[in-house]
Amino acid sequence: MNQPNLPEQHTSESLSRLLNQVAQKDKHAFSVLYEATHRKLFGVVYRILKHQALSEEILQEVYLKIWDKASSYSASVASPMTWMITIARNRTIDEVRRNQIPSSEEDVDFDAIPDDSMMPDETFYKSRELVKLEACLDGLDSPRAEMIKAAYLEGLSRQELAEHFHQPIGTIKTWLHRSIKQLQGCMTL
Amino acid sequence: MNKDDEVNINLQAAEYVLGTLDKAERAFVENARLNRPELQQAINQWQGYFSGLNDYSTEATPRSELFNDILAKLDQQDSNLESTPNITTAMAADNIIDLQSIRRKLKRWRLIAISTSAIAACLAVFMVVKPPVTLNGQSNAPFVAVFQADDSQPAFIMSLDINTQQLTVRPVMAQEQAGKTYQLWIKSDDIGPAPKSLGLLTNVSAPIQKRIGYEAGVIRNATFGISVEPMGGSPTGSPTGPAIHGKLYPTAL
Repeated sequence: MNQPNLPEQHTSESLSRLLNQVAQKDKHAFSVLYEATHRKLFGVVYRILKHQALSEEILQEVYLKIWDKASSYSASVASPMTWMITIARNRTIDEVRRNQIPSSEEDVDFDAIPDDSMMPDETFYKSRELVKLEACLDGLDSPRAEMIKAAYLEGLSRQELAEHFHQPIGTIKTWLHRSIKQLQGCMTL
Repeated sequence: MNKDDEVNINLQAAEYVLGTLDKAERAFVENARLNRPELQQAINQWQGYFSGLNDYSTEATPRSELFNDILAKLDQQDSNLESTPNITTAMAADNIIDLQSIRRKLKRWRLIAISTSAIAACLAVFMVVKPPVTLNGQSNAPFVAVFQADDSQPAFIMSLDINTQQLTVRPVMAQEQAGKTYQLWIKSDDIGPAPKSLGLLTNVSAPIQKRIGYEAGVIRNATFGISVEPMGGSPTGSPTGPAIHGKLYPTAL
């Protein structure tokens, strides 16, 4: 299971146990879970919103949802971090789409979007999931891998992708659909 | 499901997970996933496929008191959901001493409370304030409570609109304490023998508004208090820590 950037003392297993305890409404376990995960989740939310106060508001809602939904967590579907990050991303994307606001107050720095060739191996641990996905993204025509990463990490809509890649929105939609079909074939290999 | 359906479901699911769908399309998928297991399964699959990108999200730090705010909201939810009194301990109830007799001696102040602790073991003191018996024509007047840390310095001021059940607690001189948090309580025989939490007062730098989920009649005869508790609130469900003193004032005579 994917285990991105967690403190050393926590594993998928320990986080799963904490989620089980949270499902029993154990506030101490909830505080331990928060301490172990909130920086990562806040990083996900803030990267999309780039607004401290709004990101904090959303993070509150995310953890309230984690509290409410912990009993529905299934380790057979996703790792604890993937499950919690999914909740955080969904709530954040809902926020930017629902309010029709730009996904960030700042222009996206495309130089900052992860580029495999720029990342020294010794400074960045790649999960098996990322290694596999990037192997498949490498098979996409340029700049579609960059587009996929920008959409996922920065929360860009099709319209925003069109503006950033200087393409008609129809072209972006075509790029997305072709990329998805290609990734689907590659990821199931 | 034919091949085209399968392709469309995959596209919908992948774009939903990527976040590129617009508002209406997202709403459609959110609704459809509830009734279409194949769509839910595809969403789960794409969440797994893209989860590796989470490695790229770097950590960031929200304000330090955010978790207390989350706990306060949970506490508020619990408070609102409470329909029957909890089983409580006599020890907690004994923390509150109603000083009605003192209150009656004060002509100008119709709201009084003082408390002292009966828990000798921890020398805890739980502060209480109690609204007065409401006179005719004054039922709509808001009440104001002053919670004093000592004889001269108010720690909190609380205004209470009984009709709307709206409480506003404004910290004045209250200071945040490392590893501690303030907790607001209500005590009334109508809701049980022991105090009930009204939530944490986590951010002492700004006014805190709370809506009390009790009837006006209950509130009118209730006592209120603020205690100092461990981070996250009282571990027992009743006030455990030391408290500050306070007095209640009517805004109309």
